[in-house]
Amino acid sequence: MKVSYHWLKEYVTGTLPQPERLRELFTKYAFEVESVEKFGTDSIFDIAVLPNRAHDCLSHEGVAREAAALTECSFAPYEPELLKESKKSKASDLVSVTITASKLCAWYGARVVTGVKVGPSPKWLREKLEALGQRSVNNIVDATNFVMFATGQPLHAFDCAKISGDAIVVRAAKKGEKVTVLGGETYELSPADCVIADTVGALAIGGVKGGMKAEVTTKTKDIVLECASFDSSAVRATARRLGLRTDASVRFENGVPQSIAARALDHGAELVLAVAGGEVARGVVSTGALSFGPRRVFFTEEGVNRLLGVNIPGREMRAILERLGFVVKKTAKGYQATVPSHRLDVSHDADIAEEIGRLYGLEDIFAVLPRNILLPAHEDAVYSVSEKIKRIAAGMGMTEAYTRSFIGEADVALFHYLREKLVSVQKPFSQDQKYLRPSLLPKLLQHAAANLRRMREVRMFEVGNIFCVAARKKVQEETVIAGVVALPEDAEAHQKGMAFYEEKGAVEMLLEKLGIEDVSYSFHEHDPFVSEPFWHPARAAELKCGDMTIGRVAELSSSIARALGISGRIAFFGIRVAALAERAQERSAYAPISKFPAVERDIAVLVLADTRIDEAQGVIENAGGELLYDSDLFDIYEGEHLEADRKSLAFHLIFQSNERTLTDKEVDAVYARIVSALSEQGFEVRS
Amino acid sequence: MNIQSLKQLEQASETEIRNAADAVALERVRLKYLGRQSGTLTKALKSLKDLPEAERKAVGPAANAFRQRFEAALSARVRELVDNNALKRIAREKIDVSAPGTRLPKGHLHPLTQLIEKAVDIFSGMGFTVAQGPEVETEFYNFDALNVPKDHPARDMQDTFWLDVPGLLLRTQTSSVQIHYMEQHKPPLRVIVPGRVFRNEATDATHETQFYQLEGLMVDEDVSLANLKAVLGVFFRLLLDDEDIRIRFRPSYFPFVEPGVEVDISCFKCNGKGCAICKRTGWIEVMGAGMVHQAVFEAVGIDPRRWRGFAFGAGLDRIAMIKYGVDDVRLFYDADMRFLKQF
Repeated sequence: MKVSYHWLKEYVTGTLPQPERLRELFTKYAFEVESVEKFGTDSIFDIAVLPNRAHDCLSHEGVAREAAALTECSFAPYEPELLKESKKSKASDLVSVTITASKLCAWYGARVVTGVKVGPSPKWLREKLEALGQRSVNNIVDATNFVMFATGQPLHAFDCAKISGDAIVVRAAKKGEKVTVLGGETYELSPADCVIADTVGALAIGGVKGGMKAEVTTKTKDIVLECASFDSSAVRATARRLGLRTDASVRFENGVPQSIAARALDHGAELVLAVAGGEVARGVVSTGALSFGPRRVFFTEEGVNRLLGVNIPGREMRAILERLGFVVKKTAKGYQATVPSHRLDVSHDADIAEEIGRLYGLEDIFAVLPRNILLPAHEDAVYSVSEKIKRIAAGMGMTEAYTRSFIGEADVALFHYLREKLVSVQKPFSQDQKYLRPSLLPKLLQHAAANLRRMREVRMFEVGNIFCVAARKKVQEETVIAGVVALPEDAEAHQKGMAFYEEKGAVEMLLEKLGIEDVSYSFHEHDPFVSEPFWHPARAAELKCGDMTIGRVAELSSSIARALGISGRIAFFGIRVAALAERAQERSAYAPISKFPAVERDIAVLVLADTRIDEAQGVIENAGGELLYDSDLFDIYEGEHLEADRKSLAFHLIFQSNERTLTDKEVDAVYARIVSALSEQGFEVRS
Repeated sequence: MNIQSLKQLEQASETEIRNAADAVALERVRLKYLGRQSGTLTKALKSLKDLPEAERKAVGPAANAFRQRFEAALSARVRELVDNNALKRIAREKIDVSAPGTRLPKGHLHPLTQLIEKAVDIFSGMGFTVAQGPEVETEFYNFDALNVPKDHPARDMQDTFWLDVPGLLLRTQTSSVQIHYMEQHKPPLRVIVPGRVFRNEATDATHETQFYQLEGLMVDEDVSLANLKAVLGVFFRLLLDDEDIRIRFRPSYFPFVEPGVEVDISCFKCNGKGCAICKRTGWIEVMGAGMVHQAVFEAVGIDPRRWRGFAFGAGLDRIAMIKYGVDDVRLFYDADMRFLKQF
């Protein structure tokens, strides 16, 4: 809100501090001042009035009241003189006022000024408005705006002659009712909106904007000056739906104190007389009720001091409140504060504490550490395992990225996502934000592609939340980790699936470090969120822990890689973090290290090319029994010297016992058992 | 053999040992003098017994002394040759130690992750624990329970991402987790909530549609604004590693606290003197905070007459920007390795 320093001075007695000093006082004790700019000899403050004070401080009077409370000045609002009303004409003979929608408008008052001369405003008025960045329209409109900026109460003027039937009806709009407002745009209304109408149709959208029909023009002779109390929620809803925020609607939606209505209306009439001449008809035509009975809040010295953590004496609290216009009375148990009628925000003792605290000086509150020790509660499991995962992944050479939580239509099309599974955003600011991400991969892969334009290899991961529509339209949200590796083009390495195996290796290490066992990998075929795979159909594994699928490792489909502009090899993994959190276990006991030497043997097994390695390894481990301490695959060979449909697997076998030194004879016997078990399965052992 | 010829023989052997260039040549010298069959010295020693008594007494000790000296010279020369070889090998194997080391792939944690971890550590020390909540929220948790009723202008303080599912939105503040936590736990409470929040607005160098907040909540029988000031002072001094940081409260408004304050820290770049970072004010605005509003306590069934609490919410991206001198918030979400590798 723009506030003129000169204008503020009119509402205080005593010397207001210089603008820069006033700015400091406002900042420390009341509002944030965004800027102070020179306007001629005046200084214009741009004050950020927050919603709790918008009802009383979107006006020069409100701000002046604060300024007075913060300084040695006292607040002296403008009091309209007793209006000289016409002896001949009576307002109620000229216009009638009815409210049929009392929920939308609690009170409606009008004065009639006859014989005005509509024209340009006098210089002082024009300058006052221009200082605030307002355009001068004509003397009547300017007078209503002046009163609004002075008091916070919006007023409106109608051309009396254009009100059909001389009757003003405040009613709910009819469904589809159209109003053309000042400026020329037409809005279609609904029964939730309030209109000011005559016997024929709408003259204004109540609390928002006046209409063209009864516009005040240079031909206008008599005016009806409106001052009303519109319902704040209704005005807000209307203004939002119509996308029509006006100075009036902003004030009404924050709640204009009803206590100022009558005075603002007289102020308006007086100003019209002063700038446009004419005569005020006798009386105010009004309907409805204004209620601003006194509100009282009880507080104690101890309660306020405990909340703020200070030690302010009761009499100082009392003095602070009185400076703000509260009437404070000591009672047996504490104090009773009568809240000034314009302070709609004060209703509890905490509100009183806030007023005392800020005027005492929040800066002067002395920092005191809390005294009690509290045993920390259990940390959120997904959070703590996420932190662990991040460290492990970074330790494996991957860099952590944060990507945005949204995807757009282009991503949906590229990755074949099913739209009905995606959570969509109602009115995104940008089309890239149409859906919440169903996976971290689309963005992570795109960022990997962007990085590949500048570097040969990219290893990235992200831990973040993903979203989908679950059964019965519920939104399901969960935390996942995804990783991406992108490596340069290399036909041989590609044939061997080395990118895939790097990611799989990362997953294996991650699971081992978390102490997760019972892990198996099978072909990944199906993802319920896509219509067709975005991965390489023959290079994708589903990661299972027991019977539960907890993630996947795959190479990216080559057509998508191409579409992303990636020419090298790219693989990814994704794992559900909650599943990891449930299964992660710290090492609970150590296994004794054998005191006896180990015996090592290698074995090469010739198998069909499509044989799964864990199948052959399973045979070895079963046959090896407990003397076979470990078996490791160290080579896969295909090509020269082998038939085309064969591959050779070389395992390193370690035999060891915890109880004795193994003899060659014992080891030979186990080895022979392994060889025969392999042959039984149709695997040939190469010598 | 007489003394004279022994001397000559010893002189010759000394020269030969000295001239032996390698182990093979040295072995030849050894065989020449001490070979079992034809070694000159061996033979001389063997022939001692044929000498007359008097001569034997003179030559014998001299020959044996010669033998000892010869063997000592031989092994000294062996050591010398070994040392020389080692030196040559070392010289051959010289490398340029100023050349860069072999690099293993290096991973990096995101700067916001690092900031969050540090914040969590600091608050853990003060008895706070980490709580989390969903990013997709209901209107109730994000607004109503936080004392922001429907059709209240306070809702305009944030541009909300509403979802197509009625009543659901992306949380605009981590304060929603306060409500979840207080519904599930009884006071006294101390929690912090690091998390992603969303605002539906245009992005630029200082605005992102998503960013991180650190929410804090402490509820106890005796908690005050003065406690809040002290806890935040500890936090910022440790977080930014600067003992001189001071905390300033200014009046502000957030619907879920009363009193509500804006929290400034004294500028740690210029120590409050005024610089570009603090826009010459000496203060940097870092968070909103206040005492938990009684309407919030009532919404979660905590008795506001018995319990008091403070709550705060800091924008972590902004703190990270100031700390690292990052001038564009979007860099945190662009996954650009040139940026991420710096942390």
